[in-house]
Order: sequence, then C-alpha cells, then structure tokens
Amino acid sequence: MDSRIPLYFTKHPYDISGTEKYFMRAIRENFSYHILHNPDYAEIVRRELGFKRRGRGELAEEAASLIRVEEDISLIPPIPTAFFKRKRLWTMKPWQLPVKATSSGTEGKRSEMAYDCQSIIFGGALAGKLCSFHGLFSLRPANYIILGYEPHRTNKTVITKTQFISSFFAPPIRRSYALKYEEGGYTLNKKGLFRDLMSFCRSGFPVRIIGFPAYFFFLLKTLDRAGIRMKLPEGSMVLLGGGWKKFEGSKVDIIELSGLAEKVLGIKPESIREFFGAAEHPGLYCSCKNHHFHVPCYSRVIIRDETSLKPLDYGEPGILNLITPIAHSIPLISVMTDDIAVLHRGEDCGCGIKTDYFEIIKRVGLSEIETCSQTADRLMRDK
Amino acid sequence: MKAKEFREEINRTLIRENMTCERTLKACEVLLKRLSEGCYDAKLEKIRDFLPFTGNGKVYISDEISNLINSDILRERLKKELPPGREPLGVLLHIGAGNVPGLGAYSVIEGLLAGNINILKPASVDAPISGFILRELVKAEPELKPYIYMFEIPSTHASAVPKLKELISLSDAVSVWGGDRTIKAVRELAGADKKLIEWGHKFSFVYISRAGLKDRAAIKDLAKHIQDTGMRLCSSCQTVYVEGGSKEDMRLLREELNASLKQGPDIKDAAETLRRYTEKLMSELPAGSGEEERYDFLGCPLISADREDMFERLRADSHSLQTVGLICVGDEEEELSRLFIRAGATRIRRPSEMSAYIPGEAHDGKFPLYEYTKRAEYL
Repeated sequence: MDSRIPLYFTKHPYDISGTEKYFMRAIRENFSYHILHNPDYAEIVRRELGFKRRGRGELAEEAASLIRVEEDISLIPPIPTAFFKRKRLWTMKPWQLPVKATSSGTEGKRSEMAYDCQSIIFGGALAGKLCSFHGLFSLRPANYIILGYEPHRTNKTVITKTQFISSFFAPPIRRSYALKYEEGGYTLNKKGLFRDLMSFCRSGFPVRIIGFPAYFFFLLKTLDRAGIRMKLPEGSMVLLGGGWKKFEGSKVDIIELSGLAEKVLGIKPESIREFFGAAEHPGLYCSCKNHHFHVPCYSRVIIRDETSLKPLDYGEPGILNLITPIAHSIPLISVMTDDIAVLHRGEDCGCGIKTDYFEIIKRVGLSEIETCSQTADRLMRDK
Repeated sequence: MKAKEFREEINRTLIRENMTCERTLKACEVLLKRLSEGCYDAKLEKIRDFLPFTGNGKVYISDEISNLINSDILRERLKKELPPGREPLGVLLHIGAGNVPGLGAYSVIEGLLAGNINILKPASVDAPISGFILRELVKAEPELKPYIYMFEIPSTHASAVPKLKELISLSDAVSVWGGDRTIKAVRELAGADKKLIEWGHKFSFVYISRAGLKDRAAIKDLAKHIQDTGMRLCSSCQTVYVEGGSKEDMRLLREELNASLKQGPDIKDAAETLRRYTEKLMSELPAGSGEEERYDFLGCPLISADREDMFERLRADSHSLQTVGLICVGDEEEELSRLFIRAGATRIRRPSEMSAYIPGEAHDGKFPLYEYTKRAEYL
C-alpha cells in the first residue's frame, strides 16, 4: 500500500510519533519514485550524492536505502525555489496533472507548479485536518474582506487560489477585495473596502479578513490614524498568509499586529491566525494560539547553514528547507525556500501541540526570488 | 498642492534668474562628506530592505551614491558636456527606472547642473533611495528646493495616466528611463510636440572570437563582471556570443565560467549561497535535458554565432545596442570594433571594464547635460 494513505488520513495532524514509520516509508518511496521517473532529477541526485554512473533503477534503490532514520532526510538534495523558476523539473506528463499554478504574479520569474490527482487528494485531506484542528471551519455564514487579488482567469497564482478557497471555510455571504480586477489590470479598491468593512460590521454576521499580513497592517494603521474603532461581530476571524515580502522593512511582529487589531477592530488575538506555505511545498502550516508554526506529521523542517548548507540545530537561524512526500508530479520532496528561519522545540511553546515549531526571521534578498505580492506592493504603495 | 498653484509656483521660479550649477555641486559635496562620515549608515540600512538588490547593502548603496554625486566628476562633465551659450530647457520631467538605486535622483542632479526645474516620477523600487538623496540635497542647500519635485505615481494605477499627462504638460522636456514599453507609453502620452530624451533599456553583450576562447584571464573577468552586475545595468553583459561555438565549446566555456565563480569572493550571505547552489544544480542537469538545449551562466545566455551573421543579427536592434565586451586577439580588435559600432553599439570595452564609468564619456552616445539644455541666441 502507498504509505502516504495512512499518513495523510491519520486522525491527529500533529501525531508525529504515531505516523513516523509511514512518513519515513513515504519519503523513501517518493525519493525513489522521482529518481526512477525523472532523468534530470536522477542526474542531480547522482552527482550530489556522489554515486558512479549507473542505471536509474539501481540508483533509486541505493539512494533510497540511505534514508533510514529521520536525520538521513537531510541527505536528499534540497532543490531551491529559484531552481524551479529556471527549470521545469516535472516528473509526470502535463496531461496527467489536473491542477497547474504559478508561484508568482505578473512580475519576476515564476515557478510552474503542477499537482497530480493523488497529491490533490492528500493535500485536501491535510488542509481539512489542519483547519478543522485549528477551528477554522464554521457553518455560520460570514462576510469576507480579502486583502489580496480578486480571482481572474489571467491570475494563476497559488496565493490567489488559496485565499479564494479560504473564503469557503465559513459559507460566504459577500466578498470584498482589496485588489479588484478592472479594465485588464488590478487596482486598489481602498474606498470600497472601507465601505464594505463598515457595512459588514453592522450586519451581525461574522467577518473574516483574509490576506497578506502587510496589507492587514496597513489597513489597521489607516483606520487607527483616522481614529476609527470598530467591534467585529462575534465569531469573526483574521487569516493571514503570504508573508511580508517587499514590506519586510515595515514588518511588525504578530503580537504587535494582534494588539493593534484588538484596539481598532475589537478582535481577540487568538482569533488571528497566520498561515505559512509555499507554492513549491504543498503543505500547510497554521499558527497555534501562541502564533507559532508547528510542524504537522505530514512534513519535516530542516534549517540549513547560510553558507555551508549543513543542517543546523535548534535555535540557530538558517535557510528553511521543507520536506514532504506528497507529490508525484514534481520532486518537491526537499525544497529550500528563500526564508531564514529558526527551529524550536515543541515543548517551548506551551500551546499544547508537542511538535517542533519554526519561526520565520526574514526573507533572503535574492532578486530572482520574487513572488506573488510584488505587483500588489506597487498598487498598495499608492495607499 | 492643486495643479494650478503648482503651475504658478513653477512659473515664478522659471522667470527668476537661473540657478547656478555651483549650488548643486556644493550640495553634492556636503552630501558626499556626510556619507563618507557614516552619518547616513543607519538610514541606508533601513532603505536597503526595500531594494531588490543583493550584495553588501550599506557599502554597496553608499558606493553607488558616492559615484553618482562626486563633484569632481560632475565638474569635469560640465566642462566637457556644456559648451558656452547653452541655456536650460526650463522644466524637466524625469521618469525613472528601477535598475540602479538612486537613478532617479541622479537624473535630477544632471537636470539641476544644466539649470532646470526638475520633476521626478521615480520607479517604485527606487523611490525610497532617490527620495532620500533629494531630501538631503535640499537640506544641504535649501536654495535648491524650488528646483526639485518628486511625485510617486505607481505606473499600473488607473490614475497614473491623467497625473502623468498633467506633469508632462508642465514640462519643456521629458527625460525617460526604461524599456521599450515605458518609452512607447510615454511617447503616446507626450504627444507630438514634446521633446523626449530617451534613455532606453540597452543591450550589451560580449563577443568571444575563436582565438579569444583561449584567453583564460579575460573569461575569468567576464565571470566576475556577470556576477557583479547581474545583467542589471545597461552596460552589463546580457548575452555572450561565442564565435563558431560547438556544443563542446559551449559546455567547456560554461564550466570555465562556473569554475571562476567558485574562486570568487567569499560567500557573504544566504542569497549568494542559494544563487551558487542553484547554479551548481543547473550545471548538473544532463546535456540536452528539458525543452531545449540552453547554455547559460548565472542566467546570461551563451550563444554560438558566426562573425558573418553578427551584423545582420544585431541590425534589427541597432537602436538598443550599447556596450560590447570583446575577447579576441590584437589583430581582430579593429575589425570587430568597427563591425559592432557600425551595427549600432556605442562603446567597445574589455569585459572587466564594461560597466566601469569613465569620467567624461558619453551615455548611450549622448551627453546628458547637453541634452538638457538648448542653444540660445541673444542680441
């Protein structure tokens, strides 16, 4: 049986010890699958692991046999997100891949990502488990403020798709977008957004604000400067994701952001949840009540040294490397993002979730790595 | 400020006596001194986070600014570029690009030296740094204030067109930096009667002759140049043409370039680590893998070419050619230089000097200060 099935359909999304054997087996299966079916990836693995030239079957077997315990996962060559922007490393044929998406908006280079049927099912299962665990689903209809792009057929970015999907966590009554698609481009819908927020507030139904943290911060600042104080209806939530990107300079920590949100919107800090994800890593990280990203049983996190790329210990900042056995479409098994992060022991959090958690410190200033909110930035700057 | 008041304010400044370039030079000197004393370090560090550039931020930006505002270089330029009898155009609108930090401010400084009133619409990525330079210039020399205006107008925003049209109508000339699309858009907005001074995106490349392929030192310089400038400047090598390059030649050249890279300076940060690691993985891909066989080094394509076809190949883009880096042997130099200048290039350099600024040299075959002035005939 495919080891991913017991892993992704496990009951508890943070049950690492109960699922470890499935995870390790799934990793070995996934590693060997990509070596067998993807000649480019096989060559990278061969050269990175220093194997002599040999058949792919033999290579797949030998390489997978190196991954015995969790510490061995770091041997799998991590592929940087920038690599996917330069080279399509697809293992499966395009017609076998029903969902295709890109990592970035209209600016910069894009990673062309694609997901096979199985990984979509597993992805759905893990997202459902995690969101349900964190209490994000509700049957009570809600109004949505989306601090991101209005979906349009020309916009293929993962973040727009995820923001849209998130607007079904509670049955949607209305959606109001910060960046509206008009006359062939996106424009900032500042007035409409404020007007809708006011009217949603009076409607009595919960309000859900979804979007980039920087834009949520700018929204709060604008309201605060104007002396506006609101009380969002009971059951309202803020779901943030997509990172600060080019607004790294204005970044405030989540505690400060929550404080400001409580002051301006009257929303409790525990109702503000952050997500972390990357187009090149079909996994989801949802912050706990202490605003930490715990690693669920479906993936692992390695922090690598900024110069030697060697794995680092807890508490040491380095490049974030995410591990998942989910996809057959592309070797996304070990992906190195452009984030500098630190890994902490689970017990240091105190929220009740026992798995390790990571903290994003900053983004690497690599010009090739330009992602989704870059275009949005330019539009928002006219705030 | 309302449009009408702005127009009146500009007109009042215009009919006053011309501002002397000495004031600008003095302000540049003050700025340069404060920069070298480290007064702006903290501020520049903060601005750095907004820049899409890599490298050792603070030092890098300081160096860029220092090069741009060195008053000795500017004085030389005044002597060389402005013959007697030149008068300012009046009001210059600068539409900046984002490839070099401070480019917008630099364009304004050139406009000031030529005695103009300057309105800057910076590229969004350049707005923090150019805004900072211009504010500090005015602090150093408050008399410059009525000669400098800056408006942040995101180009993609719906209100950009009417705002830009308004600014264009106030100006005597528009100095526009950017790619073909920007220039075309500004040409349309400006109408037939407005003088446009275009600093378009330029294409610069390196040509390696058969004999040049053996020049290890020059190839090492080329690797360094591509690594340092990252194809970001008009004068950065954006393609390498290899004369009669076979597949084997191309692979060997790429390996040699990559090998030079490894001997380069120490890795300073995670960005550099990721860049090099990505490059290493790219070079590990089997030959002929993927959609097409492509050779490149740090994203710069390596293309096989024949000398006979080069003229034809380049003529279609003659308007955008700028610097050609030559790797060849002595007796080929004259022939190749002539070929590329005739094809449209304006500078022939060694790879190591492609992006070096040589005081007094023209930009895209033109003298900016001359372009920002007119010849006036008095009684």
